[in-house]
This record gives sequence, structure tokens and C-alpha cells, in this order.
Amino acid sequence: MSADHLRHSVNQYLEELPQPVQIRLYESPATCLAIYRLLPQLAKFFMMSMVFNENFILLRDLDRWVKSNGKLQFQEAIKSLKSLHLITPKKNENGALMIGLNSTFRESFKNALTGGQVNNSFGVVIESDSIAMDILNEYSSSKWETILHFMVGTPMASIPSANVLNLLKNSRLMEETESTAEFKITNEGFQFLLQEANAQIWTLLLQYLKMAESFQMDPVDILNFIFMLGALEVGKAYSTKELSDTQQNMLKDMRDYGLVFQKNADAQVFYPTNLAIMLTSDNKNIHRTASNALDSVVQKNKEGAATESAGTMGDDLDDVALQGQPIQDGALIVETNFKLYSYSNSPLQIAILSLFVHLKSRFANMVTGQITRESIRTALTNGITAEQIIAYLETHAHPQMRRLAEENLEKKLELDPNTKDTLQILPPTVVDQIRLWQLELDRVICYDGSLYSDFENSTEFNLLSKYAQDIGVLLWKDDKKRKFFVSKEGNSQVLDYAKRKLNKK
Amino acid sequence: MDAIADPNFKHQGNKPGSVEESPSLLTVIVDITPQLWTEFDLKNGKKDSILDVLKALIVFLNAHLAFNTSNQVALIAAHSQGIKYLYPKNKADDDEISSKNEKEDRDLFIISKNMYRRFRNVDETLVEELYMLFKEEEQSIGKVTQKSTLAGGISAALAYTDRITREMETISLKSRIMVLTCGSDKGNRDEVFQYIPIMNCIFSATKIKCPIDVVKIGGSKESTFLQQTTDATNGIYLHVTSTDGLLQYLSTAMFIDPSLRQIIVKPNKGSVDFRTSCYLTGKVVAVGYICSVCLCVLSIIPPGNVCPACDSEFDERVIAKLKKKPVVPRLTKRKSANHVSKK
Repeated sequence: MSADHLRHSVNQYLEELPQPVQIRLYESPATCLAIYRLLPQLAKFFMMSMVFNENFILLRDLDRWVKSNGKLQFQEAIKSLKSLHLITPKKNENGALMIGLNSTFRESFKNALTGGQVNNSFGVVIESDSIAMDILNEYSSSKWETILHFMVGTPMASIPSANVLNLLKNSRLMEETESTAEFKITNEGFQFLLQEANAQIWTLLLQYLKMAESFQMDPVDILNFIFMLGALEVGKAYSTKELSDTQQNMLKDMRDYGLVFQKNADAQVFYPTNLAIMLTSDNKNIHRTASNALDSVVQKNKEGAATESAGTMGDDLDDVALQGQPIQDGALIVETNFKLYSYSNSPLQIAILSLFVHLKSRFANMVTGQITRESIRTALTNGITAEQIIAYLETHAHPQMRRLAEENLEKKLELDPNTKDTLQILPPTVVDQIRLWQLELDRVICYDGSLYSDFENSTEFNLLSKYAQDIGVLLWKDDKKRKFFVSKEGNSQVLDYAKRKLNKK
Repeated sequence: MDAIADPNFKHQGNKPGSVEESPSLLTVIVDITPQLWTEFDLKNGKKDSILDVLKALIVFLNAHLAFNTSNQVALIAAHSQGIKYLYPKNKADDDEISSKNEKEDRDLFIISKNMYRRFRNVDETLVEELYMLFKEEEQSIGKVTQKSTLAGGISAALAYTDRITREMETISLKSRIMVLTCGSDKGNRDEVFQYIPIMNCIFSATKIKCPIDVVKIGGSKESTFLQQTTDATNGIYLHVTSTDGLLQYLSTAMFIDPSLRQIIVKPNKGSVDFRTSCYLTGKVVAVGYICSVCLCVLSIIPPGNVCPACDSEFDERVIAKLKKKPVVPRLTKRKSANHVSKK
């Protein structure tokens, strides 16, 4: 899953930070909350059980808590906690290993949960100021799509700002051809396009962090700001006064990516956009709160009564968020005959699909196409892997495909509770075929090794080739031509054996 | 076709045993019947322990929201007159309140203005709603109390869960329900009337695969029907004697997300009392009578020889047989006299 991949890359960056930097990061409650959410599930569970418990606990006790089929996750959880220095180990008098939560983290996280001393890490709201949601949505999507369109190479007027171009170049998503000074997308760039939006933003931000280090900017300030952005509320105005100088500088860059909106460059307030909220959420679905869901039902009922509908028109900003939600844009259906239907009207989605699908016709709200050997091969030669294509298709699958797959799996589980089958959202024929097409490209496999030839008689040949086969280093042999090929690692053994046997005679 | 067995096919599918991260909905039903809590306070010699409980509960809800960005919470209160959704708030009520009094800022000072927005939204609504609820309770002192508001709360929670899961189909929301109640000392008198509604809840909960966890504070250690609920729905039953350190209990034993249930050892202990209650008297029965038509359980032979649940008439001869007292063989005169007096 690409969401896992994203977690992995962000966590990896955090893990590689030196410990003092990590500890400074944990001083901000907002950052603690975001880091907590990035942890593996089991780790989150352990953390929560330790937050309100000041004592050290036995590692063995945690281990006992997990059933035998979860040991893998247990190891993973402990490993990630250790590498982020969230837990501190200690030996008790009996020599058993005890662990306790990092005290800085514990304090900040407790404050985040109970609303204690949060030191403005969740931003300072200016209640009197507000902004219409559609302006924000329009702004963020136009900024972000400009970047993606530019990468796909859609001919158009607007080109992203110099900062963005620099970032794209440095992250090797695009490269500048020397002769014409034009930007050209790289293999990594193609892979980047297939990721989910939040993974894409993080890829750019991680690159931003790496570049920022060379400008002597403090990574703690930058990370705090990024994590804070993820915890803000869309549609509210936030004051820039509380931000540090580094963070004030960052605002300009974040504006270029479409993460925040400002009415003018020197404004004292900024507005986070939907993209910013996505930073700390896994699901591309921007969460609707439960109260929203409740409202939507009330709303529907009201709309049913035609007389009332006029009165309710003005009162709800949430409408914008609700309309797009039922089916995500770009939901696609793949059939067993390799036909593909994508419910999308955005040129960007279509451009991305055309990377690996042979598109046939376009309708008012959808495009149809066919997955063919040629279309997949062009994608493969562009550096996209079969796994990425499959992952893209899976994450963008239409909810109905997902439901069908879940129903099938449930039926199988009812028949045989021990079945090893996993959820198959895409038709297995299509998935296998895409993999096979990739295998076609890897027909030639190279091995280092030595060729044995010019044997005097067949007994000598048989003796050596049999020995090579027995010790498992034989890669190829031809009895008629009396030749065989041995891998590099096994060569010395075969040579020794040949010397012993053949010299005796 | 040897190539198919090649490395490309190895990492097909997910790793076995990996837990897929999915958001979950937590619905909490809290029993705030003032009578029960006053009894609890008197017994423990403390004051306002319900406030401790509610404080811990709010932090617990925040913790659940912290677990995953798309996590959701709902809180339903079961009070003496019925149930009430505390969060999410009904929009219709909202308009009413805002017209009545602008905003009751004085009660909200305990919630920090700079808290994480999602926590703050939930917490502010809760504090406000609880305040209103307690005011209502104050006025209804002396009114007849409803008997099984807790079971009503569970049904409401199940209905809500079902609706939200349907609405959020695209993100495959998991769900669980937690019941927080206070045990009374007068045995399980109140509980017996809830047997049938609770049983119905169990059936629907197992159907939508929604575990129900129970925290019982004070009172007797066992709670027959609530324990059966947790057992049947793969939930957790926890009995705590006081409200001290309740938050730690909540954040450990009650924090097992549905997706983690397969790999974590549940903190359940001991056996569950599977007995049922009599349809007529409401007593818990170990040995009793059962209607052959509708399987309704009775501790006495019903008056009129008619099943109280399905109205089917019982055969008089069979009833007569049941009513026949066991015949004790007369060995000596003295001993038989003893037997009669025992009856």
C-alpha cells in the first residue's frame, strides 16, 4: 500500500534525526500528536497505555499482551519506538528489561490530549476573520495541479514558481535538458505521479527539509510548522505573529505549493487549505466529522420538503465538502477483459491514466480505455513498475469493486475460515497479466561465473558436472557439447574437486 | 511457465498477519442516573465522583481521536428519563439553543482555547450538553424513573453505528461500543428488566460485528447480562471499585481498537454467568420451565396455563404433571413428617 510507503519514508526521516533534535521536536504538543499518528498501530496502543502511567514497565509484560500471531507486529512496534527514542530502556534489580516513555514526549502528549499547556503549537485562531471554503479549495487545487500538470507536460500557460522548479530538480523528479533548458520528467517523476496526493506532498516536503538544512534552517522549526499545518482547521484564519522567523519564511514556499493561502504577501494571517490537512491523515478522504454526517441526513430530509429548502440554502458551508464525497474523483472500474472505466473529468487524472492505459473515448463524466500489452510496456519503459500500476488501480478502485471483493472474501471465509486468500479488489487475471508483461522485459538474467569446456572424455565431464550439480552451483550444462557453467561462488570448490580427482589419474 | 514462480510473484498480496490500518468509530454510552451515583458517593464517602468519571471520559475520547485522523466518536447519555445524544449534536436542537442563549461561555473556561481543534469541538459540545442535561435532571427530581434506559442507549448506539458505517462505506469504518455504568448495591434488581432489550442488542451487535465493551464502576463484581453482552460480542468486561485512576483503565483495557483485537490478549477473566431471567418475575433462573412454542423461559408455571409471551395454551395434562409434587416413599412416620415441614 502506498500509505504504508508514505509512513515509512516520513518515519525514516524522523528516525535518522539525531537524538537531541528529536527531543526538541517532542517539546511541541502538535508535533507529538502527528508523530503518534505515524506510528504502527500496536505501538500507538502501547504508547497510550504508558502516557498516564509514570512508572517503568516490564518489556516482558508488553510481550505477554500480544498473541503469538502478532509477534511480528510487536517487534516492529518496539523497533519504531526505540529508533524514535520514544521509549527509554532500563534494567531493574533483577536484570529484566524495563521501558518507560520519554518524559518530554509524555508531558507534551498529555498536554495535547488534555488541553493543558499547548504553547500555541496548534496555531492561534483569529475568530473575527474567515474565508469562504470554495476560494480555498480553488486556490489549493489550482496551485497543486499546476505542479502536476507541469510534470505530466500538459501544454498550458502557467508554470510553477522558480522555487517549485528548483525543488523538482533537486528531488530528481524532473531534470533540465542542457541544450534547450527545458524540463523533462524522469523515471522517479513517473512513479511520483502515481502516488496519492498526501504521499506526493510529503515527498516534496522531505526534499524541502533536505534543502533547508543546507540553508542553515532549523529542521525542528520546519517540522513543527509542517505538523502544525496538519492539525489546523480549514476555513479559519491563523495569526502569523506567533511564528518564528524560519516559519515566516516558509509561509511563502508553502503558499507556492498550495498548502496555505494568504490574501497578500505581507498579510498578518494565513489560511490552511485542504492539502495542509491531508499531511497528517492517511486517507485521501478528507474526514467528515460525525456531526457533519448527522447534518447531511437532516439536510436531506429538509430538502425533501420543498417548502423548506429555500430557507436552508444559505446556512451551510459544509455543502462544498459533502458534494464531492460520495464517490472519489477518478474512481475506476477494471473488468476481466482488461477494459477500464474511470469516472473522472479532470485532465490531470486522464493524463495520469494515459501513462499506462490506452484510452479510447471520453464522455461527460468518464473515460474508457483498454489495458494493453503496448500501453503497459510504454509505462514499464518509462520506469513505472507493475507493482505501482497495480497499487494505483487498487487505491483508485470504485467503491463498488471494493464492496464486491469484500463480499467474495466473506463468502470464502464462511466456507473455510482458514483460507489464506486476501482481499482481491482487481480481477486476478489483470493483475497477473500486468506482472507477466513486466517479466517479459526481464528475459535475460546475468550471472557471473565460469564456463567449463574441452573435456577429454564424457566420464570426466559427468564427474565434474554431477559434483557441481550436487553442491548446487551448476547453472547450465550441455551434455552433447560437454560444456557446463558454474556460478562464481561455487567455482573454487569445483576447481579444487577437479584438481583432486583428475590429478590422481 | 517456470517464470511465474519468479521473484515478481513473491510479494503478491499483503504480508500475513499484518494489521490494516482503518479508522474506527467509538460510541460511548454513559449511565448518569443521579440516583446510582449518589448511592455510590455515599458508600465510598466521596463527593461528585461522576465528575471524575466524566473528566476521564473526555480525555479518553480525545485519545481515541488521536489514534487515527479519521477516527470518530459519539457519546450517548442514559439518564433517569431516557437517553440523549450528547455528541454529535442534533442540528435541530442546536438552532434552538443558540437562539435561547448566545453561548454559555462561563462553563467552557475549563477547556483551553488553544487545544487541537477536533478535540476542542468535541469537548466543548460535551461540556455544554452535560450542563444542560444536569439542569434537566434537577427539575425532574421526584418524577417516575424509566427502567431500562441503558439498554435503550445501546440500541441507539447500534442504530447510529449502523448508519455511519453505511454512510462512510468508502473508507470501511470499523466500530465499537463502550458502556460505562455504575453498579448499585441493591443486587441486580434494575438489571433484570433489561434482559430482553439487551439480548436483542447482542444479536444486532454480533450481526454488524461491533464489539461492546463494558466498564462497571462500584457495586457488585458480576453483572450477568452485561457480561453476557461482552462475551457474545467479543468485547471486554471490566469492573473497577473506585474512580481513582479510571483514565489509566480506560486508556489501557478499553483502548483496544477493533483492528487490534485479533492479536491482543483481552483482559477478560474468569467465567461468564450465562443464566437468563424469568419472563414473568424477572428473577435470574438456573432451572426453570420453557415454553415449547416460543422458548420463553419461566420460573413459575404461568397463571391460566397460557404462555405470557406467545399466548399459546399449554396442555392441561402436562401442566398437571408438572405441578405434581415429588412422591416421597414413606419409610418411617417420623421422617416423612420432616419432609412436609421442609416444603
